[in-house]
Amino acid sequence: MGLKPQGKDYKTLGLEKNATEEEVSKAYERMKALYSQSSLATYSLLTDKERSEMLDSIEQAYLRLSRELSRRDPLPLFEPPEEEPASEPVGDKIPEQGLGTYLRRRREDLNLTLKIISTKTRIRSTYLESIEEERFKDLPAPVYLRGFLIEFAKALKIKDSEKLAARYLALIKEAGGN
Amino acid sequence: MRDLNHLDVSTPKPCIWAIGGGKGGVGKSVITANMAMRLAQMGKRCVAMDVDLGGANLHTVIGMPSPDRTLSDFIQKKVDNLRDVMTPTPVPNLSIISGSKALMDMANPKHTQKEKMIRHLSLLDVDHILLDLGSGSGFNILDFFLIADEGILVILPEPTSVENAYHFIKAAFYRKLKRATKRSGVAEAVDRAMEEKIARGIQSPRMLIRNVLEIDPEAGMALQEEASLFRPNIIVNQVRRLDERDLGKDVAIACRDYFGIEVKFLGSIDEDDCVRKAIKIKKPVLDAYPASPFSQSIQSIVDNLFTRQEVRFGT
Repeated sequence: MGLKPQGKDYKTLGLEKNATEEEVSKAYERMKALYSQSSLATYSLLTDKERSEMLDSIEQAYLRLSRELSRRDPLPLFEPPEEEPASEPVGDKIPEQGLGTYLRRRREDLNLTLKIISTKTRIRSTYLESIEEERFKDLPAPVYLRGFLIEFAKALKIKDSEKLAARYLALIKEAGGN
Repeated sequence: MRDLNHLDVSTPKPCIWAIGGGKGGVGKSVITANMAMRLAQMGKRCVAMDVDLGGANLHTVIGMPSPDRTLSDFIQKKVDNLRDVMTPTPVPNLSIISGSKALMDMANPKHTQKEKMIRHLSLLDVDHILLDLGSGSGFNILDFFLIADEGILVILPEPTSVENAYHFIKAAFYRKLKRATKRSGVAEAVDRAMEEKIARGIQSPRMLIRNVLEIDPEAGMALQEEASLFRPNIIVNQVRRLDERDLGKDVAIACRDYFGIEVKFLGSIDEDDCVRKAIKIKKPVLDAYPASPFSQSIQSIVDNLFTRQEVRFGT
């Protein structure tokens, strides 16, 4: 087996040829889960042998692609330091607009990372991030989201967490749903 | 899935959507009734038909008493035309063909009866026909699934339902190929593949086509053509957990990888108490709880199907 990635490697992971390193590793995780023994989506579909062959080719494809990509875009040796904007604490008043930014700044005021909040609330940090960045289409349905928002707000010591959740959901509705 | 010869401008034939799903109790009737209701709200003349002859209850989900005229009158030749057993519902634009009084022994109509029913379907003067297929993957159910413009499978995020769905997809696919090919050798190859336990060699549709291509390239090409026309849709119903929302997409990926079949994921429907409440008061969910998550999902699913049909048929 050669080390050069081939067209079929992209196909195995369901990717386009110009996929980025991040896309490759996301697709790899997803395909590995899809063909794992415990996967619901492929239940009863494959024999054990077919399953392990599939996982093997996913592994091989990932190996070749990630090697190729890291050669193409080597990681920078050091991360440039991020500039710390000096700003006032955001306070308790829940704004009408910019709720995502409000949540982020509130979190930064408390010196908490998304990961810490995620551990505390058991909400995946990708969701927390989407909430902060107001990426509505990446958010779960309102029935779930409401609970997430309340938990998130509580973790940030926002007193009226219900109100925050209601405003956030109203914001989504205004933007045309998620 | 149907041939394109219905694109006759003068008498447009109705567009048929068939809703099945190997397992019973996955919500086929509720989804069918509410999709039909949505189409009716959009101004489409629509008929919802109970093909589930054994356990028909579409009328209850729509919220009306069991109609006097049912499919059994047509099957028993008490009336000449299928349109004679169409009953208007309280919903404007929406009629129903009920199977509710069909006798149990009619749950499996004879081949000729079925062919007649299918012929009469395309003669109905409506825009849309929604078929509520029964559970299981018997030939009759598969045939209605295959004559539809869009075949839709409803699955639940449960291993039993996923297993049944794969069985259904495979059975429908082989049925389609078998009906399409009269060539000797090919039909046998398809037969062998259907008995997967015996023919361990040919398991997936993709393998089957590969094998036939080797034996008889011309027949193999024909099969490939047929296979590309088989594009079932799926809906994941009663989703309770967030990760279950990815099930539809994942099943579509697995079908592409493993079967070589393009499955379209139409959307998932979150578990919603409004459905149970609406059934209890015998009203369509879209009517009783128009803003409920269920109703929203039905709307987006219907929209998705329309987008899809525009692409495929230019209607």
